[in-house]
Amino acid sequence: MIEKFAQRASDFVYPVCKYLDYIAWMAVIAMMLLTVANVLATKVFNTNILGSIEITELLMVICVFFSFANTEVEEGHISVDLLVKKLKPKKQAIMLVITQGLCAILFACVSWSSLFHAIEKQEMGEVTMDLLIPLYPFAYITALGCFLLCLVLIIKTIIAIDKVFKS
Amino acid sequence: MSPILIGVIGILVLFVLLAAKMQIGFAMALVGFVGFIILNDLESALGLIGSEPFDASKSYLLSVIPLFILMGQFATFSNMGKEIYQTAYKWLGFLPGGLAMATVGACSLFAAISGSSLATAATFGMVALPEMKKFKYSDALATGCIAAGGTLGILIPPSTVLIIYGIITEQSIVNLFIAGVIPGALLSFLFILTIYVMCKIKPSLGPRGPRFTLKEKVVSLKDTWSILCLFMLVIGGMYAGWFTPTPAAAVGAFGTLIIMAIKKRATKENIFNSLKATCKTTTMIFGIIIGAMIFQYFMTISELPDFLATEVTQMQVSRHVVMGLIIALFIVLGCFMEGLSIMILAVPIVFPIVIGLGYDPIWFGIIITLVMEMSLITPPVGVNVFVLSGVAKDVPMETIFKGIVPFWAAMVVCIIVLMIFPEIVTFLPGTMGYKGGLGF
Repeated sequence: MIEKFAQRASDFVYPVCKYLDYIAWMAVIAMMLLTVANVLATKVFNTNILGSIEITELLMVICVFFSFANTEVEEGHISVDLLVKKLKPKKQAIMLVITQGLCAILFACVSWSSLFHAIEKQEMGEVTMDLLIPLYPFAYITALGCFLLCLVLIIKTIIAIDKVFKS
Repeated sequence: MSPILIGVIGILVLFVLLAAKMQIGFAMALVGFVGFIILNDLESALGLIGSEPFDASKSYLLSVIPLFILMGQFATFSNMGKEIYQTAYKWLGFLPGGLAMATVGACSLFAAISGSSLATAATFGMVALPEMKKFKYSDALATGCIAAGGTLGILIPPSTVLIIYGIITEQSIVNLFIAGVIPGALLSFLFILTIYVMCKIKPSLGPRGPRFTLKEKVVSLKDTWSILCLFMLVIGGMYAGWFTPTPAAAVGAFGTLIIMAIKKRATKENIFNSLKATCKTTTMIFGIIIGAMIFQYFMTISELPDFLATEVTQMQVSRHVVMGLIIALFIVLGCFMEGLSIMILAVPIVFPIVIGLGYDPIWFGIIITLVMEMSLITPPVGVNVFVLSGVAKDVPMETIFKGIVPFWAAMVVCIIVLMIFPEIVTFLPGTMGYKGGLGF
C-alpha cells in the first residue's frame, strides 16, 4: 500500500519538477543572450540595456528554484555515502528515513517561511530599481521550488519506509 | 552552555549528519537553522531560512556560476576535448611518455574552458585512454595522468571552486582567476616533468608514439586556435579590465556555442544536454551555498571562528606551522569529502585565522584549491578516480590509485614551491593593481 501511494505521488510530482526544469533551461539561455547583448551595447554602441543586471538577477531565481526539486529527483544534490554504503540494506533504509525525513521537515519550514517572505514583499510592493518589476512573484517562485523539493523529499522518505518494512 | 560550545556541538552534529548521507547543503542548513533557534529564537531563525534562499539566488555576482558551467558543458558535449588531444598528441606524442604528456597538456587547455575537474577527467578518460592503451602504456601511468590532469580544471581559470572561494571570503573573482594562471601552468609543467622522469627511469611505462612532420603539427592547430582565442578573450578580457566576471562568462558561453555551430555540432541534443547538466550543477551548488550561508550565520553568532582566530594567532608557534596544520587538516578532510563541500564548510572557519596570521587571501585561495585538487584523487573518496574507473572498466581502482602517487607528490611539491615563493601567485594580480594583504 505504501509503495502504491509513493508511486502515485511521484507520478504526479516528478513530471511537474521536470517541466519546471525546462523553464530553468530557458532562463539560463536568456541570461547568456541578455548579457552578451548588453556587452555589445556597451562596447560597440556605447550605451547599455536598461535593467539588464536586475533582469539577470531575477532570471537567476528562476534558474535555481525551477530546477531545485528536479535536481533532487535526479539525485543531483551531493552527499557523502562512504559510511552508509557499508551498512546492510535495512540499516541503509533506516538511515535514509531519518535523513530524508529531517530534510523534508526542514524544507517544509523553509517553504512556509519563504511563502510569508513573499507575501510580505507583495504587501510592501517591493520593486526593482530601474524597471520597477515587482519582486514578489519571484519570491513566490522560491517558495514553490522549496515546496516541490519538500514533496520530493517526503516521497523519498515514504519509499525508504517501505524498504524498511520489506527488508 | 556557552555559544562557543554550541558552535562546536553544531559542527560535530553536522559531521554525523554528513556521515549518515544527508545532502551536504541541506545538512548545513538544518544545523544552522537549529543552532540559530538555540542561540537566538525561533522567529528570527524562521526569518533567516525564509529570506536566505531568495536573497542568495537573486545575485548578479553569482550568475557567473551557471554561465561558466554552461561554457564548460558546451565544450564537453561538442567533443572539443578530442580535438585538443589530437593537437597535443601531434606535438608531444613522439617523446618518451609523450602521450601521457599530451594528456596533461590537453587537460590544462581543456581546463581553460571548463571549470570542472570531473568533466575534464571524464572527457580525457574517453579520448586519451584508448590511445595510450594502443601504444601499450602502463595502466597505472595512463589512468594516473588523466585523473591528475583532470584536477587542473579547478585551478586554471575559469574555475567554479575559485568563484565560490571568492564569494565566501569576499575576494575579487577576477584577481583569483588571474592568480590561478601561473600556478596552473606550473602544476601542468610539474606533471609533465614527473612523466618525463618516470619514463626515463623505466621506458616501458610509456613508449614513444609516432612522430609527425612540422607541417602536420601546424595544421593540427587549426582545431584548437578557436579555443585559445576564446580563453584569451575571456580571461584576457577580465585581466585587461574589459569585463567583469558575469559578462566574461556570458561571452565565453556564447563564443563556445558559436564554435560548436561552426563545427556543426550545435545539435538540439547537444544543446539540451548542456542546459540540463548546467541547471543540475548550478542548483546543486546553490543548495550548498544557501545551506552554507545559513550555517555561517549560526557560526558567526556562536563566535567560534573569532575565538579560534584569536586563540591561534596568540599561540607561540611559527605561523608556517599553523598553515601546515591547516593544510594537513584539509588533506585529511579531503579523503572523505568532495572538494567543493570542504571549501564551503571549512574556509569560513579557518579564513579569519589565516588572515590573522598575515597571509594573503588570494594566495590562500590558490593553496586551498591545490589541496582540493589533491582531495579529488586521494583514496578512499577520490571523485576523479571514480569517474575514471567508470570509463576504464577493465582497470582496477587500486591500479589507478597507484598511478596517482607520483602526481600527488608533484602536487605537494607545487604547494611547497608556492609557500616558499608566494609571489608566483600574487605577481599577476599585482600587475592589475592588487596590493593584497601580503605579510611574507
